[in-house]
Amino acid sequence: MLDPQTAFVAADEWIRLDWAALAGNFWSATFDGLTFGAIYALVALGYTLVYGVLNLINFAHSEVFIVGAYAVVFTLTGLGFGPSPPTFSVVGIIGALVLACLFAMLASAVTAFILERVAYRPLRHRSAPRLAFLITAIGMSFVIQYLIFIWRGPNPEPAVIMFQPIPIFDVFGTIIDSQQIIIVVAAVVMMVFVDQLIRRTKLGRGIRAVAQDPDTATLMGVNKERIIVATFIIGGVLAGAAALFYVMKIPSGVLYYGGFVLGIKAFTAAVLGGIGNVRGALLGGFLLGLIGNYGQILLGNAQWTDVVSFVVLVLVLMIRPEGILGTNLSKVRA
Amino acid sequence: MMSTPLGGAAATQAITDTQATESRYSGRFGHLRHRWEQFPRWQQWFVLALFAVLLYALPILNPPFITTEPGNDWQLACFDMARFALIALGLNVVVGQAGLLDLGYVGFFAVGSYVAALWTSPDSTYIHIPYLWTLPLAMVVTVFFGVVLGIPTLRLRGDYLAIVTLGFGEIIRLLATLIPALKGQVGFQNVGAPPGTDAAGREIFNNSAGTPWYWFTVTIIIIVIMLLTNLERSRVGRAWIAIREDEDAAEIMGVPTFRFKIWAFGIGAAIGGLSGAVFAGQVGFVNNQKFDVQTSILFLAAVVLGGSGNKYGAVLGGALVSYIPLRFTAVADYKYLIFGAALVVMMIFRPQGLLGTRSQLLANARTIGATARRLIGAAPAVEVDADATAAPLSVEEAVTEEVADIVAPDRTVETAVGENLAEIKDLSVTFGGLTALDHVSFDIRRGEILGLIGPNGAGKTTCFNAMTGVYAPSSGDVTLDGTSVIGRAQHSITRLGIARTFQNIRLFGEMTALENVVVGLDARHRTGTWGALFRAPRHRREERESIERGLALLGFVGIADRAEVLARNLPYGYQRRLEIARALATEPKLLCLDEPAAGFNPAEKDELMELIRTIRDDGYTILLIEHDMRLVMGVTDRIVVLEFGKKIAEGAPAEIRNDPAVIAAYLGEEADDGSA
Repeated sequence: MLDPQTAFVAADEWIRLDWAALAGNFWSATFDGLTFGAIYALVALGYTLVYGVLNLINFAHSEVFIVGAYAVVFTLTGLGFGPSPPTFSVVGIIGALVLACLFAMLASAVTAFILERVAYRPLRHRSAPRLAFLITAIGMSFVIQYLIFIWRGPNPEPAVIMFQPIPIFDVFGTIIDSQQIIIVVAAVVMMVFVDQLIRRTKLGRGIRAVAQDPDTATLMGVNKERIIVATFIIGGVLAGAAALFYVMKIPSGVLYYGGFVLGIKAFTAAVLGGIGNVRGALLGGFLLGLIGNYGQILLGNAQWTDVVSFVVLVLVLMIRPEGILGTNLSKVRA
Repeated sequence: MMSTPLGGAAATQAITDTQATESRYSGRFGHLRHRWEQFPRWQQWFVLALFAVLLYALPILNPPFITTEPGNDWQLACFDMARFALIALGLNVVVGQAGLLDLGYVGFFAVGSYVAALWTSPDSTYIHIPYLWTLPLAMVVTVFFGVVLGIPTLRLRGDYLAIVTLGFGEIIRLLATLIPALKGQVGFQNVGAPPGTDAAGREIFNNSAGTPWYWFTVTIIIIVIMLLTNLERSRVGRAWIAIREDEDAAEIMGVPTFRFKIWAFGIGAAIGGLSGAVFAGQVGFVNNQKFDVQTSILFLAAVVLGGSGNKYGAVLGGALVSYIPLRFTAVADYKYLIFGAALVVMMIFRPQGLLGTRSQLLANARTIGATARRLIGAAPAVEVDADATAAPLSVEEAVTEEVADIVAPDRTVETAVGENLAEIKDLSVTFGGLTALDHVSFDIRRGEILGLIGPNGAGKTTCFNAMTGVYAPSSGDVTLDGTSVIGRAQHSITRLGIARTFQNIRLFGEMTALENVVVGLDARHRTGTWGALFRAPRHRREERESIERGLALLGFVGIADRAEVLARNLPYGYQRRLEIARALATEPKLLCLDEPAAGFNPAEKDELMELIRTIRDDGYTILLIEHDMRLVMGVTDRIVVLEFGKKIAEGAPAEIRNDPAVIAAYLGEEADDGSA
């Protein structure tokens, strides 16, 4: 039997909390958390939109994202970027990044489109049970991952540094740099754009109608198949944008299973904000970015971020499964 | 009087006969299975014994062509196949039977491995126990994890379980790295093994000896299969299939779906933990390297490949997933791609898997034929190739005294005949701003047939749903026999004594007619999961009675000749009757029929009226929603009329027919609209 002394040591061997580190790094953790949160939010939108319309967790969305990340790396490497900060002019860098972003959006959107065509559409036409959709989704995720693995091997792509972050503001003695500002602002702008797209355009109306009742929407003249394809493509485009920011933040994080953990986090963000809810994805993304970063510093290892995110997911499902903002896509008012 | 209950349906029936003969022996191996069940018991045992000998001899025989390629030890390969088979067997309970997608099964496997390591390895500071004790310990610990994970998730839609388990699998791997006590990549050496040394003094269960470990695992598999078979052929197994087929309908038929989902998840977790402990023992070393999510997906591929929902299919699939990369080393590098693609291809082209047979869900299936002959004088259509053109039985022919006795339950109803059995008081249901039911009150008297009518959208089905717990009313109360049903779970309302059928038929399509009815009967059964697992006397008694009562109920509604046919293959009229039989099986005090005549022609409607009267005469009280005025006027004792969620009239059919408010609101100029 364990005596109290060893029992205490045993407890210490499991988990240690470092509150001092958290207090010391609070603001840098906050700003960094928001940056990651913006990336989660963009990917989360892809989950949320597809879930809203098809009631399906598109497990392969994480691979839609990672394909975009590969497109970013290839484009920038082709343009002469590499592991050290580039020496181009500011305009040149901006031009290259925009180009990389467009290619990433294209690559991700095409992947999402193929995914829908090859895997989900045949099942829909057979009106297969929900379980079949989920299994197919995870199967496709796996197939894409290992196609990349066979092509690129087990190691991450060489790092691509886009630019040297410049300090912009000094808040509470902590620097906010240009990179953080670019990512957060660009992500928020895109989210607002999508939000307005859903609320104000004809396509958005169609998406909401299909989310609410696919059969009635079809009877009312909405082309359901087109709406579904459009939803996948919008999700793909956003994942492509997220891929650019992801590579910007983690230059050497592109490898075949790199989308997996980010996918789980993005899904958690979507559930946290309220799945099917576009604004919820943004809120959930930021919150999860913050929680993950605080948790990682408190527990003293970067890998704890993933554990913390997962615990958040389980807690949300336990306490408030409808998420913070709660409404779903079908209930959005124009 | 009609000579056959479905005289009008005779034409359509002839068309569907070809499908209708597809009984529980469906699927590619249906014929083989049917032949197998025709053999006498001793022959079956002989074949099984022979098969078992071959199975145990497999690592020693080392058959050419089948054996693994050089570099992969055949005996260890045999163990690996057995290990995968055991894992697939456990995952099959979760995915195949209960239809819950578990993507983090490797997490349970990992927990089991670490339990074995922590309590046997000299590297661990914990107290040490003999290895064999860690097997049950691993199961207990993994069940704990499973329940902790399952309780928040299983209340929600199935998809969440998929993502939560996916996260869980990954987290267990990360925790093994992050928590110092679990020793990360260093891991634990010299994990224990079963005791025993050979003549040379070497340990029998060492980690290069595949054969003893293979025998050990195969023995575990056989025991697990036997126990799972017991569960399958009990209310537990039926509940799982019912949940998979239609969770809402299962709940309304009295299945406590949440509890049985937790059971499925927990049992799956236990088998995962067990296989993890076996694996840890064989390898002798546990660290954080072997439990990635990819492995979880391989496990899933094993289940889907072999035949989701079929335990032998799962065993086959598990063995294949392990065997293929060992036999064909050229493709070993591509195994994840191959099995990932297999998941997609199987789902699109052959969702039932390689072994597509369904499982037997009744414990005494052999007695079905004899019981049917005794009760109804007809053998159910068990013959796969028999032409099932025999005329169906009429209600009068079928309902012998004995059948009627068995059907009429010995339930206790507090209310006297003619008194108020159920009272609906001031009931309102709102959806957002819309009031679907607006302060409606009426009573249902014991022994009557009460009609609930009204134009489309009047709130009839909403009223049903509020009474059966599908919707929570915003105000008001519903009492049955003096007890309020509001706020109770749907399955407990069913047990209280309200049963219903559905406007759009919701049978469990992959179950036979008889099994559907037995799911209803299970609402009154008291066997627990443990009782079913170990075939307790009460379980055996209840199972025997199930077949008798189920067949009697089928005879009562006139479809006993199709007892063995899958519900989805039944002709439409039979499906409607089966729904009524299934609802009656729950021993309701009040039977609610939601448009039972929808889609019937006039002749069939007459037969249905006859049946409804027979049911009432047998002592049931009936609430009937129906559009067809002729049927409602012909069969009911009293009628309640709803319009726009409000009650506008109540009274005897003759009064309703002449009520000006009803004529204005509902009947219009035409008093008899004739069709639904």
